[in-house]
Amino acid sequence: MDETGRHLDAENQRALEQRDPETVRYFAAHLAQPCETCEAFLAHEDGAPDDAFGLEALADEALVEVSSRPAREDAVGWARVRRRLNAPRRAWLSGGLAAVAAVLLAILVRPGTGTPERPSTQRLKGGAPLVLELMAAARLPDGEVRAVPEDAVLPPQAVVLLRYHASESANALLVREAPGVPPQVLGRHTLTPGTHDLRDGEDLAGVSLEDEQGLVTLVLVAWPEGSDPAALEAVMAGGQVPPDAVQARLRLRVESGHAAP
Amino acid sequence: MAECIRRAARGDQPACAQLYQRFHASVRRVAQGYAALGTAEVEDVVQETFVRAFRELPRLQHPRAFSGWLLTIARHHAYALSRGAKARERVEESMAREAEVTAPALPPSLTLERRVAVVRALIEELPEGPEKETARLFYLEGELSAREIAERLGLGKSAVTMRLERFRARVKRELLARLLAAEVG
Repeated sequence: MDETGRHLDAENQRALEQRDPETVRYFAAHLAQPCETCEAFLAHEDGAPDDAFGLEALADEALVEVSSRPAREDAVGWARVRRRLNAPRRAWLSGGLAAVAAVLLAILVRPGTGTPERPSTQRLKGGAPLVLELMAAARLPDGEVRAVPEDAVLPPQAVVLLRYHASESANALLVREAPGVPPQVLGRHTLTPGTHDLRDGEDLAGVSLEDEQGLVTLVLVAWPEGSDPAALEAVMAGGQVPPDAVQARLRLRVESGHAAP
Repeated sequence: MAECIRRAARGDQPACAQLYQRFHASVRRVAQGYAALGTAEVEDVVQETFVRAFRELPRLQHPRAFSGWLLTIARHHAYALSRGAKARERVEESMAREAEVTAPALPPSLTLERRVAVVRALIEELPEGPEKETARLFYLEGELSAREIAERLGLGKSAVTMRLERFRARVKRELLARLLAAEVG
């Protein structure tokens, strides 16, 4: 066969995929030099040759890595993906933005000043009562983080960040309540004594309000460590928060067009 | 990272969040290479890519294949969104096969570090001119989208996309040569 005019095409591609030794040897040498014809074949995505060598992935990994620009936090993007996955409406913040948000939460939402309702308590037999408080701030579309009082009006682009005060270690669930729809458990948390950001592992936990409209209530419901786990499991299963459970509530209103609480 | 991918495949949401934060910029970058796509469409590609990836993650055979697989999904979505309905159908068929991808061991000449070096060398070797300028702006500086580069250089959107595709094909040619050379021994 005359080798001078031999370039990548569908037939040679098949031979390469079948690891025909002569074809592999020829193209190993031929492709080591620039070849416009072969590159045109490789560039032709429409009617794309099967990517049996995984070339697309190998090339893309290198091409996106070459600039090595540090990635910025994208909490809103993640919140949208999570919503699309039909999972509970949560958002996570980590890294630099999380640090900023945490500081602002601490400054803007001091324990005892932002609590929407009287602290809820529960006493284990022979023990001190569990006291629970919930405070919040919201990350707004312009990136600003502001304190969120009870009955605040927020835009659907906001992500709500929560901070709690617990008098002792507890197991807790974060539940979303809205008129006309069943309650939704957003997450399970272990609370530690004192005032802390509500977290999921290393990340600051938040609640995306995207696609929300009207009244939304976030409920942190907790059981002192050592309590019968059945009560927690029952809420996990159905979302219904029993009225006698220790809970802290934050009522919000979501309205399009509102840029700030 | 492998453990994080395994946890995400089991539906662990913090692990999914971690993967999103680690890879969203790369996925966005792939979509930004299509000058036909505006900012909102690029974000659509990012969302679609991760939603699909997280749903199909349990089918991925090896965590090592994750980043390449994710970027391939992104490229397919971006390509489909920049083309018509027929292209979208073909992409759907193609993507149905992607999750089956395995992760064959790579020869030393194709580690990520070596591949990045290949990309840098190929940009360096381009003759001074618009091709090199486009590749440098998009791949090396990595800030402007293809659409923004078209505006800055006063070019049509398709011209920039074509230049990027041409350069990418050059990278693929070089990588294929190395793969085949490794097989020849």
